[in-house]
Amino acid sequence: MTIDLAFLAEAFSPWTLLAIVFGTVLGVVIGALPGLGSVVGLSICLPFTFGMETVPSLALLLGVYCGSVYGGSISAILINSPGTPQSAATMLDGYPMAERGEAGQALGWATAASVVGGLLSCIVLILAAPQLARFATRFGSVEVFGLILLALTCIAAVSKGSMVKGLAMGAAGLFVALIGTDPVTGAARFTFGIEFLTAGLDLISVVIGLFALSEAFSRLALRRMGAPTVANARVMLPALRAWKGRVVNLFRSSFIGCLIGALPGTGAATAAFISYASAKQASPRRDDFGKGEPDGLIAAESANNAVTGSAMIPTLALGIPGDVVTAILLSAMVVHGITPGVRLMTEHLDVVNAIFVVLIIVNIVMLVVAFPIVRAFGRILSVPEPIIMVGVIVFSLIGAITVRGNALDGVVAVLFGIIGYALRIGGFPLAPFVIGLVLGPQFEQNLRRGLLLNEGDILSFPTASWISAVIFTTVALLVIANPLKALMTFGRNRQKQS
Amino acid sequence: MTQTRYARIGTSAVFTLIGMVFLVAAYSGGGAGAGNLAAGDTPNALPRILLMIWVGLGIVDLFRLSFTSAAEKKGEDDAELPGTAILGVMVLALVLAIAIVFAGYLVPVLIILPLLLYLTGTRTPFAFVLSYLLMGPALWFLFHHLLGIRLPILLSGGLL
Repeated sequence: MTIDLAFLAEAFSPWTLLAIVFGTVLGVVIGALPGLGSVVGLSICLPFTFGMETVPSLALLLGVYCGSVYGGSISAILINSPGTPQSAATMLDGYPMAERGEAGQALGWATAASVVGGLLSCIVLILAAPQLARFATRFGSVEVFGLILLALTCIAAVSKGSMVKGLAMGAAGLFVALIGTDPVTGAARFTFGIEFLTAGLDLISVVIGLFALSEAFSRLALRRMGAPTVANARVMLPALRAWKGRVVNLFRSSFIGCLIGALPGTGAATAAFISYASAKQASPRRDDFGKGEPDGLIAAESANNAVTGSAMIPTLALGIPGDVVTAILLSAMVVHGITPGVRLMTEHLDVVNAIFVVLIIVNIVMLVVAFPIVRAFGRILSVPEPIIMVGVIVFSLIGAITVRGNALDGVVAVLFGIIGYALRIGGFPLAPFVIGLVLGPQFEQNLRRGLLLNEGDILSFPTASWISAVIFTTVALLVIANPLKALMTFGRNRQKQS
Repeated sequence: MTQTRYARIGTSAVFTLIGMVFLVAAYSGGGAGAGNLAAGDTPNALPRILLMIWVGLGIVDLFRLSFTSAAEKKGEDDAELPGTAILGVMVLALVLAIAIVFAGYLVPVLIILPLLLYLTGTRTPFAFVLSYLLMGPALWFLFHHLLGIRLPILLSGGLL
């Protein structure tokens, strides 16, 4: 058996390495600034990737992604404000350590745990993704349709807010994806005679609007005009002997992160809190948790960084993004002519292999860039938040306009920014909408192909194969579970009252 | 009933209403092509199903919000409500996006960016001028001239 190693040349090309370093630095900085998370970072960087080759562009985005997840821990430790929601658990023990004058040690533990968690998840990704992809080749139209339905239901079920809202947003996202010309008949759908809409709404403009712009509007609405000040801090990596009694926690938390990351819709914040709780239960120093215990820091940081690699498993093996971040990465692939789906790993194996290598390099680069970035953090934070948010608005507009070279996409982005802001106020989760938008064309294509194969009988889908039976049963259980739970709680409350 | 709860019900109502408008359009706009009728395959079949789900779940959500007492809502994180400044920022961003369509990127940004900075509270002259120069002409130069990513232009020569 011969292995084509051309992907190594791609992954180690000067442009790719430059993109990794630039992306990681930018990601750490963006992650460290409260309010600007992975999604905003990726949205801002998207326009830079349009003129780049496929692998360097993905390297830039992966650098931003992994860097921003780690970057959130810096502000969590130093100013008790998580830069990203993923770092909320880091704050619990990180800030008390900083208050005790051990900010350097806390940053050191966080950095080391982040790198180990990230690298372990790369290994899991490399081992698991090809197996899952091999299995996925058995999937036909009905199974792929069921899988997309399952992903949407999972994301709606675990989204912030109610499942009803999540499912409604998923349906709305799928619907918006269908606006434009029908790919089968060529008929115009919901264009209302507007020529601009015949090509459909641009996915990236909508994502930029819903996430980057609405986030900027939300942050500006909070009217935080001042900026926190930070005492000079530097990363102090823990000595080898300091790891004694903590290695099991590190590996257990990384494993939890990998496992949770592979599930659609869960994300790094969930992983961090679950592994924090598990570490607290298992640790002999459990009483010190919340008071500045390194074990808590290790658990949170290794788990949230372990999610970065494993979240790519369903994305690369099945073409199903598990969250908004991987949805943006997937849409960047589409821009570069790579069609997501179950055959991604067979048709673009070189790109997938390069992604594996890039992820490993990103985690190593993260360790190196952490030292100077933490030193510069105080200076970066001195930029007032409103200026940063105006910058986000300008960057978002440029990003939306440059995707298709159509200035009207900027208008679409701002309109979706306003819609996104309103939906946030209304408590609607945005992730199901974007996942629906990304998967909409595939969803329709596979549904219609499945209907043609099954003589228009949608009820025969669950019995098409054992895989589809499992998928559709899971979907049904997920849909039923939520109202059932609500009904049981209602009954219990009534019983208590009576 | 709290202000946040009003906002939630209002948003949910508007969300459902938009779905209804599309649903009416889906049925009044004709078949939009026949497709493969034998397989129940018409271009409007899936959009109609999705719109029904959208509207149906929207109504369920509205009922849920209407019949949940304010006391039960206690403990949910209250979202910040928009002030006039944020509405101004949104309007300016929209005006900027629309102006770019007709007047290219540079001229509208040079006019609207200072207003955005002022409205969001940037008052220090140094920070104001630096942000203006960096986010205005410097970004234009970076994208349009250095990176070769063409932004909309007013004059065909590309200077503006």
